[in-house]
Amino acid sequence: MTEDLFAPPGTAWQRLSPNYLRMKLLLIPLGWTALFVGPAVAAFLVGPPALGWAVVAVWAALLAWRLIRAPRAFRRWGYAERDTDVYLTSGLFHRRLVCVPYGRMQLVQLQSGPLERAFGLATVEMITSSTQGGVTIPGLAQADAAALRDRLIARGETQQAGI
Amino acid sequence: MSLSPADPSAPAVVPARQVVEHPSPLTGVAHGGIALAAVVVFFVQELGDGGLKDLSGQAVVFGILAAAAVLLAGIYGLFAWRTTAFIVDDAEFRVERSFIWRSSSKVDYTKVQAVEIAQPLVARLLGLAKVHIDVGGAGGLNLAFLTRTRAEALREHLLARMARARALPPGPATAPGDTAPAGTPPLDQAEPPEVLVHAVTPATLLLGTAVSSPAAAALLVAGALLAASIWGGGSITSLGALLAFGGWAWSNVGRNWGFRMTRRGDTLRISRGFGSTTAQGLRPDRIQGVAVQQDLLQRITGLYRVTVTVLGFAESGDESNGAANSVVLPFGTWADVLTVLRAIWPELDLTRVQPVPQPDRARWLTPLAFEQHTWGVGDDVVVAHHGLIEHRLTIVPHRRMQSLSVHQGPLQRRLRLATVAVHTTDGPVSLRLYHLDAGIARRVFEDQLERGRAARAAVA
Repeated sequence: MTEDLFAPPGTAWQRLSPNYLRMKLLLIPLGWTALFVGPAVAAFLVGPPALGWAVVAVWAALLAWRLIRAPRAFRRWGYAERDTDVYLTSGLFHRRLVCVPYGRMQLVQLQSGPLERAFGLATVEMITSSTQGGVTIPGLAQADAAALRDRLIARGETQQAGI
Repeated sequence: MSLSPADPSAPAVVPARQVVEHPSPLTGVAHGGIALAAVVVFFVQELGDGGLKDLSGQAVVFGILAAAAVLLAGIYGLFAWRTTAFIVDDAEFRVERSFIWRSSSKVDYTKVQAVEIAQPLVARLLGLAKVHIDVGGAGGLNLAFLTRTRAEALREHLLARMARARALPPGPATAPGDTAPAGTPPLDQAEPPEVLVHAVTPATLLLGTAVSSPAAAALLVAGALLAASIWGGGSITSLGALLAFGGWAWSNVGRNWGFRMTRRGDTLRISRGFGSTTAQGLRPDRIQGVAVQQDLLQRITGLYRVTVTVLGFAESGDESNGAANSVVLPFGTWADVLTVLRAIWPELDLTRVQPVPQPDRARWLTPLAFEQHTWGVGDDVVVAHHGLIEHRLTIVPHRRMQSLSVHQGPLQRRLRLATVAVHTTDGPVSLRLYHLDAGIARRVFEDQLERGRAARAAVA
């Protein structure tokens, strides 16, 4: 049933670079550890040891859960370029599907932070005049991202639609 | 790396050689100078206030901090200059930044709304200027700092290129052109006569203000204060409570006193206010969406409030405040609401929009407001109605739809439901069709996309 709702629009979903999953698998432990270091140290110093170990257990459980889900969440990402619009789907827990007509794009940005660069990745962001409706495609190979950006802009110019 | 300007990532139409420009080398000096000016202003103010008593001791610390701030700003500016590049030619306008985060923004020429040149004092002394390129509702691009002449040339080029890009396809876009050049003619040419659309009577305004949830809340607070003061035996606090309530009621009534909507030619005009009258022009073709609200207590009086999302209201910040600006009917009966709606979209007929209820199993998610949640699609508009305490009817024309999305949370997945969101320009109106059957949701999504496409094609 739900597969039906997020089915690809005629053409198959294009997937993100596998490097994006690798980056996520590195980022998830870093992020959750950073989040839990403070509470864990505080719990060990102030409370009984049991409290400290409880915090560590929560950390381990959350981390394991996120790591197990990461590949599935990664596989939910998909985008499709069509004649007049772009489709993007994502999310495992909270699923979504967005469609932005080329004519509505105001600005297309290509971004890559230090870590993304290390993995050879870039993010393409399409900005419309509605902040809730913008589309961000992370984890594309840099060359693909630049090419996608140029295709999007070129189509936007020919299919402009005011606001 | 591959994001550098030299990369052959541009489309094939672009000529082989591109001129890559950088901001002025004086950018670092300008940033440092601006920081220095800020520090000096702060210092002088503190001195004037007598905040710095022990000058010798504090001045040293302060001086070090100030020097550090100026140095940091200068270094930032230096990096910004070295790492920012932009390319402007006939085919594209692109800004590349490669400071810690790399970004590359490419602007669609047809989407340029306005180009502003700003000159802070320090920049002016150095002959520099900052360029802001407005591309509509969300976001824009900043280039700092260019020489004054280059900034002006850039603006000329962008505006000319924008005009050309707009002129190429048949039937240029209607709305965006109006914000662009500085010399836009004023909204009304005073030729057609002014016709009254609707006026809010003082009785309706007073009734609407008195019987509403904020009034009840204010009354409760005032009452509590009053009770507390009577218990405590002091009369001053009770006076304060009364004053607070009176002030709230006054500002609410005063702001919308004598609310009139008139039509002159294509433009609607709203004038309101007690004492100082506020007048604003409103072009129906710039209205992106309408929301009709009715809160709990207003159901007794049968009054509604109508607000709109208008393109360009955010920019014209010269009028009081944005929230009040979006109101096109402070209080009115359903007949008044229809009058105002007809003035905005004459072709709209709400009776022809068939309301569709949610499927029965959505009761699990909206047990109390289930009866209120309906949605419908008309020839020109999407309509959604929801709300528990405040009933809200949201209307967005197909041709104003920006993008579209479907969402499904874990509970919705279990119940085979999904929510469709219709995105418009940012404003008070936001349209969501909650908890549709998952199978229908995708069809609604695809059909709505098609309707949006058709409506845009009809306008162009």
